[in-house]
Amino acid sequence: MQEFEELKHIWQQSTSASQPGSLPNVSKASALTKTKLQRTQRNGAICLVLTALFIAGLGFWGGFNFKYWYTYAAMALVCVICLAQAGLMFYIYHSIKQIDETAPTTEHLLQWEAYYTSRQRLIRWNGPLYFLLLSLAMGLYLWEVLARASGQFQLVSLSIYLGWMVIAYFYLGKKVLKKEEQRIMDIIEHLKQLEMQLKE
Amino acid sequence: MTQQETFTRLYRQYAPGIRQLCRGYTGSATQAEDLLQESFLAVWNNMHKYRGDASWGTWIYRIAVNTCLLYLRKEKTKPEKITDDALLNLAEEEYNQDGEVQLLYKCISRLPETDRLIISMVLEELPYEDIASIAGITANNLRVKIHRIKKQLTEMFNSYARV
Repeated sequence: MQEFEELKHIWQQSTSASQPGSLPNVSKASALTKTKLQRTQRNGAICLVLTALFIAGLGFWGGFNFKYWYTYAAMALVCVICLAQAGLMFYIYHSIKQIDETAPTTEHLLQWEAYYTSRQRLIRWNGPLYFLLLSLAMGLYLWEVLARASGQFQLVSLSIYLGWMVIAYFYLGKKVLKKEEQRIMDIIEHLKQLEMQLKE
Repeated sequence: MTQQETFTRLYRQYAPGIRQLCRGYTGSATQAEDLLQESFLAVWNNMHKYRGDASWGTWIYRIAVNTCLLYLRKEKTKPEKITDDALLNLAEEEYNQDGEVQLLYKCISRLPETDRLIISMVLEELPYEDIASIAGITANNLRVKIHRIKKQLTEMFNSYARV
């Protein structure tokens, strides 16, 4: 029959045998959740800013000579949507960065829970709104571009575009949103469980 | 002392204890090594935040505990679920000094997540005040917990070691 003191002795034998080992490579990319999430948001935001700059460049120097002002307005709208989304992603990046890994565990868990709760609220409106506005801007842009094509081409293009929108919004979008919501709910649930374990 | 020198000193001093903590938490030597590296990466990245309110040890253990708890959120990195049969086999095959250590790790890894970390710090003989400060719970709450976990762990270890 082992008593706890004996277990401590077993444990300490292995501690004394344990060597520090080689120093970690601090320039190595971390696989931690926090760092990964930060990277995703930051890289996504940078890509969106570059996209907006590229489209703006095309608008100014592309030499398209569009007939109607609203075609340029559509390009501007795409830029604005991309920049707004990039702004939001930078904000999320900053929120993740604010989570303090050096805080006491109960506080640290609450910070993550607050982050995921706000993320849960955000994905409900952000994704659909981003998709709808972008589709609207693309539709406006295609209005003039397609005006130069034959009636048959217009019909086919419009059908494909609308078909894609319907599938993307009502099927893919809802499916992705549901999956993401479930994932976040699972994380929040797990964080709550950990908090409960500490409170009990 | 430069940041690199301080970091090297801290690593040499605390890495063995943190490795044990991670080992008890995951029950796996490979995952423990990953967690050790991640914990010290977090230490390096947060060194500018150290204000000296707590000792370096408490501060580093706090980071390691937070790293461990978040690490296991990812499904693919969940610790191997150890079945009763696996534990019995371990107890039968390796009941020697090294086997006892392995069995102890495995028993710890069957406890609830926060209990694993708390008991690992107790086994490392960290003062209770420090453990309470790391976990962010009251000293009274911690004492009650430790009493319960000690009993649970001892019973579990004995039940497998007797086989």
